[in-house]
Amino acid sequence: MADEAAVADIALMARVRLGDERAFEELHRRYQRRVLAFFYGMAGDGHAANDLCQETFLRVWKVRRRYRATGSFPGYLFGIARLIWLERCREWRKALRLGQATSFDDAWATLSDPGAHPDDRAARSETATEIRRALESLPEEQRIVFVMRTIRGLSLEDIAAALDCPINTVRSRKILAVKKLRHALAHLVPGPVGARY
Amino acid sequence: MTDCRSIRSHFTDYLDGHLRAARREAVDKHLAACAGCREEFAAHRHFLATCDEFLVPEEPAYSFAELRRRMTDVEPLAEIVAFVPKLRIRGPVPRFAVSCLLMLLAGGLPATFRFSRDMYHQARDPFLAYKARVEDQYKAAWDPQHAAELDRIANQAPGNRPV
Repeated sequence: MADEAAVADIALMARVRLGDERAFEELHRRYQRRVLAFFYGMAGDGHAANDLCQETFLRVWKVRRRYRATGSFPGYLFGIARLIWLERCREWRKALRLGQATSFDDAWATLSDPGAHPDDRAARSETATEIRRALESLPEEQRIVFVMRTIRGLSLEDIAAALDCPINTVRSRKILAVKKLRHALAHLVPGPVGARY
Repeated sequence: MTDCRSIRSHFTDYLDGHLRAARREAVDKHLAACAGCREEFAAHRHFLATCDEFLVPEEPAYSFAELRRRMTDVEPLAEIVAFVPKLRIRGPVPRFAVSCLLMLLAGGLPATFRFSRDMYHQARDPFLAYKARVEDQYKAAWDPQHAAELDRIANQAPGNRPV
Protein backbone atom coordinates (compact mmCIF):
# COMPACT_ATOMS: atom_id res chain seq x y z
CA MET A 1 0.00 0.00 0.00
CA ALA A 2 2.75 2.37 1.04
CA ASP A 3 4.74 1.27 -2.02
CA GLU A 4 1.77 2.06 -4.26
CA ALA A 5 1.53 5.53 -2.77
CA ALA A 6 5.27 6.02 -3.30
CA VAL A 7 5.00 4.98 -6.95
CA ALA A 8 1.99 7.27 -7.40
CA ASP A 9 3.95 10.18 -5.91
CA ILE A 10 6.81 9.58 -8.29
CA ALA A 11 4.42 9.30 -11.25
CA LEU A 12 2.79 12.57 -10.23
CA MET A 13 6.16 14.25 -9.92
CA ALA A 14 7.09 13.00 -13.38
CA ARG A 15 4.03 14.82 -14.70
CA VAL A 16 4.90 17.90 -12.65
CA ARG A 17 8.30 17.86 -14.36
CA LEU A 18 6.50 18.39 -17.65
CA GLY A 19 4.62 21.35 -16.20
CA ASP A 20 1.34 19.62 -15.27
CA GLU A 21 -0.31 21.89 -12.70
CA ARG A 22 -3.06 19.38 -11.89
CA ALA A 23 -0.50 16.79 -10.84
CA PHE A 24 1.20 19.43 -8.73
CA GLU A 25 -2.09 20.32 -7.10
CA GLU A 26 -2.59 16.66 -6.21
CA LEU A 27 0.89 16.43 -4.68
CA HIS A 28 0.23 19.63 -2.79
CA ARG A 29 -3.03 18.21 -1.46
CA ARG A 30 -1.25 15.05 -0.31
CA TYR A 31 1.67 16.71 1.43
CA GLN A 32 0.55 20.18 2.47
CA ARG A 33 -0.41 19.16 6.02
CA ARG A 34 2.75 17.18 6.56
CA VAL A 35 5.03 19.97 5.38
CA LEU A 36 3.01 22.40 7.48
CA ALA A 37 3.44 20.11 10.49
CA PHE A 38 7.19 20.12 9.95
CA PHE A 39 7.41 23.91 9.85
CA TYR A 40 5.01 24.30 12.72
CA GLY A 41 7.19 21.96 14.76
CA MET A 42 10.29 23.95 13.85
CA ALA A 43 8.96 27.51 14.08
CA GLY A 44 6.12 27.06 16.55
CA ASP A 45 4.10 29.69 14.73
CA GLY A 46 1.17 29.08 12.39
CA HIS A 47 1.84 32.10 10.17
CA ALA A 48 5.48 31.26 9.76
CA ALA A 49 4.63 27.62 9.07
CA ASN A 50 2.15 28.55 6.34
CA ASP A 51 4.61 30.94 4.73
CA LEU A 52 7.45 28.41 4.76
CA CYS A 53 5.14 25.65 3.51
CA GLN A 54 4.20 27.77 0.49
CA GLU A 55 7.84 28.57 -0.05
CA THR A 56 8.69 24.85 -0.12
CA PHE A 57 6.07 23.97 -2.73
CA LEU A 58 7.08 26.99 -4.76
CA ARG A 59 10.67 25.75 -4.74
CA VAL A 60 9.56 22.27 -5.82
CA TRP A 61 7.76 23.87 -8.76
CA LYS A 62 10.73 26.06 -9.64
CA VAL A 63 13.24 23.21 -9.76
CA ARG A 64 10.84 20.59 -11.08
CA ARG A 65 12.90 19.95 -14.23
CA ARG A 66 15.87 18.92 -12.14
CA TYR A 67 13.92 16.20 -10.32
CA ARG A 68 15.30 12.67 -10.72
CA ALA A 69 13.33 9.77 -9.26
CA THR A 70 16.33 8.31 -7.47
CA GLY A 71 14.73 8.10 -4.01
CA SER A 72 11.43 8.49 -2.26
CA PHE A 73 9.39 11.60 -2.97
CA PRO A 74 8.85 12.47 0.74
CA GLY A 75 12.63 12.35 1.20
CA TYR A 76 13.03 14.79 -1.70
CA LEU A 77 10.26 17.09 -0.51
CA PHE A 78 11.40 17.23 3.11
CA GLY A 79 14.98 17.73 1.94
CA ILE A 80 13.79 20.92 0.23
CA ALA A 81 11.76 21.85 3.33
CA ARG A 82 14.87 21.45 5.46
CA LEU A 83 16.89 23.66 3.11
CA ILE A 84 14.18 26.32 3.19
CA TRP A 85 14.20 26.17 6.98
CA LEU A 86 18.00 26.52 7.16
CA GLU A 87 17.90 29.43 4.69
CA ARG A 88 15.28 31.16 6.83
CA CYS A 89 17.38 30.58 9.95
CA ARG A 90 20.33 32.22 8.20
CA GLU A 91 18.11 35.25 7.41
CA TRP A 92 17.07 35.40 11.06
CA ARG A 93 20.65 35.30 12.23
CA LYS A 94 21.52 38.05 9.76
CA ALA A 95 18.64 40.18 11.04
CA LEU A 96 19.89 39.63 14.58
CA ARG A 97 23.46 40.53 13.59
CA LEU A 98 22.39 43.71 11.84
CA GLY A 99 20.44 44.74 14.89
CA GLN A 100 17.09 44.72 13.10
CA ALA A 101 15.84 42.35 15.77
CA THR A 102 16.78 41.53 19.34
CA SER A 103 15.36 38.01 19.45
CA PHE A 104 14.31 35.27 17.04
CA ASP A 105 10.68 36.20 17.59
CA ASP A 106 11.46 39.78 16.55
CA ALA A 107 13.50 38.52 13.62
CA TRP A 108 10.59 36.46 12.48
CA ALA A 109 8.24 39.42 12.83
CA THR A 110 10.66 41.55 10.74
CA LEU A 111 10.91 39.01 7.95
CA SER A 112 7.46 37.52 7.81
CA ASP A 113 3.94 38.74 7.64
CA PRO A 114 3.73 42.08 9.46
CA GLY A 115 0.20 41.20 10.51
CA ALA A 116 1.32 38.21 12.55
CA HIS A 117 -0.47 37.85 15.84
CA PRO A 118 1.77 38.24 18.88
CA ASP A 119 -1.26 37.44 21.04
CA ASP A 120 -1.26 33.91 19.64
CA ARG A 121 2.08 33.33 21.23
CA ALA A 122 1.05 34.92 24.50
CA ALA A 123 -2.03 32.78 24.66
CA ARG A 124 -0.06 29.60 24.30
CA SER A 125 -0.20 27.47 27.40
CA GLU A 126 2.71 27.32 29.76
CA THR A 127 3.41 23.68 28.93
CA ALA A 128 3.56 24.46 25.24
CA THR A 129 5.98 27.30 25.90
CA GLU A 130 8.19 25.04 28.01
CA ILE A 131 8.21 22.35 25.34
CA ARG A 132 8.93 24.91 22.66
CA ARG A 133 11.82 26.35 24.67
CA ALA A 134 13.27 22.88 25.25
CA LEU A 135 12.96 22.10 21.54
CA GLU A 136 14.67 25.35 20.60
CA SER A 137 17.58 24.51 22.87
CA LEU A 138 18.34 21.41 20.79
CA PRO A 139 20.95 21.54 18.02
CA GLU A 140 19.31 22.21 14.65
CA GLU A 141 19.77 18.72 13.16
CA GLN A 142 18.50 16.95 16.29
CA ARG A 143 15.48 19.23 16.36
CA ILE A 144 14.73 18.52 12.70
CA VAL A 145 14.87 14.76 13.35
CA PHE A 146 12.67 15.07 16.42
CA VAL A 147 10.06 17.07 14.51
CA MET A 148 10.20 14.86 11.41
CA ARG A 149 9.54 11.73 13.45
CA THR A 150 6.11 13.11 14.32
CA ILE A 151 5.10 13.42 10.66
CA ARG A 152 2.76 10.68 9.57
CA GLY A 153 4.04 8.35 6.89
CA LEU A 154 7.63 9.55 7.04
CA SER A 155 9.94 6.56 7.47
CA LEU A 156 13.47 6.63 8.87
CA GLU A 157 14.72 6.16 5.29
CA ASP A 158 12.80 9.25 4.17
CA ILE A 159 14.23 11.29 7.04
CA ALA A 160 17.72 10.05 6.20
CA ALA A 161 17.18 11.04 2.55
CA ALA A 162 15.88 14.46 3.56
CA LEU A 163 18.86 15.05 5.83
CA ASP A 164 21.28 13.45 3.39
CA CYS A 165 22.85 11.26 6.07
CA PRO A 166 22.88 7.55 7.05
CA ILE A 167 19.90 6.00 8.84
CA ASN A 168 21.99 5.23 11.92
CA THR A 169 22.89 8.92 12.21
CA VAL A 170 19.18 9.77 12.16
CA ARG A 171 18.56 7.15 14.82
CA SER A 172 21.30 8.43 17.09
CA ARG A 173 20.20 12.06 16.64
CA LYS A 174 16.69 11.05 17.57
CA ILE A 175 17.83 9.21 20.69
CA LEU A 176 19.97 12.18 21.73
CA ALA A 177 17.14 14.64 21.11
CA VAL A 178 14.67 12.60 23.18
CA LYS A 179 17.21 12.18 25.95
CA LYS A 180 17.88 15.92 26.13
CA LEU A 181 14.20 16.79 25.96
CA ARG A 182 13.28 14.36 28.71
CA HIS A 183 16.03 15.82 30.84
CA ALA A 184 14.89 19.40 30.16
CA LEU A 185 11.21 18.62 30.68
CA ALA A 186 11.56 16.22 33.62
CA HIS A 187 9.50 18.57 35.82
CA LEU A 188 6.66 18.67 33.28
CA VAL A 189 6.46 15.05 32.25
CA PRO A 190 8.07 13.02 35.03
CA GLY A 191 9.12 9.47 34.35
CA PRO A 192 9.50 6.67 36.90
CA VAL A 193 13.26 6.61 36.45
CA GLY A 194 15.83 8.99 34.99
CA ALA A 195 16.07 8.93 31.22
CA ARG A 196 18.60 6.21 30.54
CA TYR A 197 18.67 6.19 26.74
CA MET B 1 17.74 -12.01 28.28
CA THR B 2 18.13 -8.80 26.32
CA ASP B 3 19.69 -5.92 28.19
CA CYS B 4 17.14 -3.36 29.52
CA ARG B 5 19.32 -0.44 28.44
CA SER B 6 19.47 -1.71 24.86
CA ILE B 7 15.71 -2.29 24.77
CA ARG B 8 14.95 1.17 26.12
CA SER B 9 17.06 2.73 23.36
CA HIS B 10 14.45 1.42 20.88
CA PHE B 11 11.39 2.85 22.61
CA THR B 12 11.17 5.99 20.46
CA ASP B 13 11.57 4.02 17.22
CA TYR B 14 9.04 1.50 18.51
CA LEU B 15 6.46 4.19 19.22
CA ASP B 16 7.14 5.99 15.93
CA GLY B 17 6.70 2.74 13.99
CA HIS B 18 10.30 2.93 12.76
CA LEU B 19 11.37 -0.46 14.08
CA ARG B 20 11.83 -3.57 11.97
CA ALA B 21 9.58 -6.56 12.73
CA ALA B 22 12.27 -8.69 14.40
CA ARG B 23 13.42 -5.89 16.70
CA ARG B 24 9.84 -5.00 17.46
CA GLU B 25 9.14 -8.55 18.48
CA ALA B 26 12.18 -8.53 20.77
CA VAL B 27 10.93 -5.35 22.45
CA ASP B 28 7.45 -6.88 22.88
CA LYS B 29 8.92 -9.99 24.43
CA HIS B 30 11.08 -8.00 26.82
CA LEU B 31 8.22 -5.74 27.85
CA ALA B 32 6.07 -8.76 28.65
CA ALA B 33 8.75 -10.06 31.00
CA CYS B 34 10.22 -6.89 32.59
CA ALA B 35 8.04 -4.72 34.87
CA GLY B 36 10.65 -1.90 35.14
CA CYS B 37 10.82 -1.50 31.38
CA ARG B 38 7.03 -1.60 31.11
CA GLU B 39 6.83 1.30 33.53
CA GLU B 40 9.54 3.19 31.68
CA PHE B 41 7.81 2.46 28.37
CA ALA B 42 4.52 3.92 29.67
CA ALA B 43 6.33 7.05 30.87
CA HIS B 44 8.12 7.37 27.56
CA ARG B 45 4.90 7.04 25.62
CA HIS B 46 3.28 9.68 27.80
CA PHE B 47 6.24 12.00 27.31
CA LEU B 48 6.24 11.70 23.51
CA ALA B 49 2.46 12.06 23.34
CA THR B 50 2.65 15.27 25.41
CA CYS B 51 5.35 16.71 23.17
CA ASP B 52 3.64 15.67 19.94
CA GLU B 53 0.36 17.20 21.08
CA PHE B 54 1.96 20.63 20.84
CA LEU B 55 3.49 19.96 17.44
CA VAL B 56 0.16 19.56 15.64
CA PRO B 57 -0.54 22.63 13.49
CA GLU B 58 -3.87 24.27 12.84
CA GLU B 59 -5.65 24.08 9.50
CA PRO B 60 -3.62 25.35 6.51
CA ALA B 61 -4.20 29.05 6.03
CA TYR B 62 -3.68 29.20 2.28
CA SER B 63 -5.14 27.48 -0.75
CA PHE B 64 -3.60 26.07 -3.89
CA ALA B 65 -5.04 29.00 -5.87
CA GLU B 66 -2.83 31.35 -3.86
CA LEU B 67 0.17 29.16 -4.49
CA ARG B 68 -0.64 29.06 -8.22
CA ARG B 69 -0.56 32.87 -8.36
CA ARG B 70 2.92 32.84 -6.88
CA MET B 71 3.95 30.05 -9.27
CA THR B 72 3.19 32.22 -12.31
CA ASP B 73 5.18 35.10 -10.79
CA VAL B 74 8.41 33.13 -10.66
CA GLU B 75 8.03 31.33 -13.97
CA PRO B 76 10.53 33.17 -16.28
CA LEU B 77 13.40 33.04 -13.81
CA ALA B 78 12.63 29.43 -12.97
CA GLU B 79 12.92 28.50 -16.64
CA ILE B 80 16.42 29.97 -16.83
CA VAL B 81 17.49 28.38 -13.55
CA ALA B 82 16.18 25.02 -14.72
CA PHE B 83 18.05 25.28 -18.03
CA VAL B 84 21.51 26.02 -16.59
CA PRO B 85 22.26 22.52 -15.19
CA LYS B 86 21.56 21.04 -18.61
CA LEU B 87 24.75 22.70 -19.87
CA ARG B 88 26.88 20.01 -18.25
CA ILE B 89 29.76 19.15 -20.54
CA ARG B 90 31.77 16.02 -19.83
CA GLY B 91 35.47 15.76 -20.64
CA PRO B 92 38.22 18.40 -20.72
CA VAL B 93 38.46 18.69 -24.52
CA PRO B 94 34.76 19.47 -25.14
CA ARG B 95 34.87 21.85 -22.19
CA PHE B 96 37.85 23.68 -23.69
CA ALA B 97 36.15 23.84 -27.08
CA VAL B 98 32.95 25.24 -25.58
CA SER B 99 34.93 27.78 -23.54
CA CYS B 100 36.71 28.96 -26.70
CA LEU B 101 33.42 29.23 -28.51
CA LEU B 102 31.88 31.22 -25.67
CA MET B 103 34.89 33.56 -25.59
CA LEU B 104 34.64 34.05 -29.34
CA LEU B 105 30.97 34.81 -29.01
CA ALA B 106 31.55 37.18 -26.11
CA GLY B 107 34.27 39.06 -28.04
CA GLY B 108 32.64 38.80 -31.45
CA LEU B 109 29.15 39.95 -30.63
CA PRO B 110 30.04 43.54 -29.66
CA ALA B 111 32.26 43.85 -32.78
CA THR B 112 29.46 42.55 -34.98
CA PHE B 113 27.07 44.95 -33.33
CA ARG B 114 29.45 47.91 -33.91
CA PHE B 115 29.97 46.93 -37.56
CA SER B 116 26.25 46.60 -38.26
CA ARG B 117 25.63 49.93 -36.50
CA ASP B 118 28.21 51.65 -38.77
CA MET B 119 26.68 50.06 -41.85
CA TYR B 120 23.25 51.25 -40.78
CA HIS B 121 24.42 54.86 -40.34
CA GLN B 122 26.25 54.78 -43.65
CA ALA B 123 23.14 53.56 -45.39
CA ARG B 124 21.16 56.46 -43.96
CA ASP B 125 23.77 59.20 -44.47
CA PRO B 126 25.32 59.48 -47.99
CA PHE B 127 28.18 61.63 -46.65
CA LEU B 128 29.28 58.93 -44.23
CA ALA B 129 29.11 56.39 -47.02
CA TYR B 130 31.28 58.64 -49.23
CA LYS B 131 33.77 59.19 -46.36
CA ALA B 132 33.99 55.46 -45.78
CA ARG B 133 34.65 54.89 -49.50
CA VAL B 134 37.44 57.50 -49.54
CA GLU B 135 38.93 56.01 -46.37
CA ASP B 136 38.93 52.58 -47.94
CA GLN B 137 40.58 53.90 -51.10
CA TYR B 138 43.36 55.64 -49.17
CA LYS B 139 43.88 52.66 -46.95
CA ALA B 140 44.15 50.48 -50.03
CA ALA B 141 46.64 52.86 -51.65
CA TRP B 142 48.58 53.10 -48.37
CA ASP B 143 49.15 56.82 -48.97
CA PRO B 144 49.51 58.90 -45.77
CA GLN B 145 49.80 62.15 -47.79
CA HIS B 146 46.07 62.19 -48.26
CA ALA B 147 45.28 62.32 -44.56
CA ALA B 148 44.75 66.08 -44.86
CA GLU B 149 42.26 65.46 -47.65
CA LEU B 150 40.36 63.09 -45.35
CA ASP B 151 40.29 65.70 -42.57
CA ARG B 152 39.05 68.31 -45.00
CA ILE B 153 36.19 66.06 -46.08
CA ALA B 154 35.34 65.23 -42.49
CA ASN B 155 35.20 68.92 -41.49
CA GLN B 156 33.15 70.05 -44.44
CA ALA B 157 29.92 71.89 -43.71
CA PRO B 158 26.90 69.59 -44.11
CA GLY B 159 25.60 71.64 -47.07
CA ASN B 160 28.83 71.25 -49.07
CA ARG B 161 29.23 67.55 -48.54
CA PRO B 162 29.96 65.62 -51.71
CA VAL B 163 27.44 62.92 -52.51
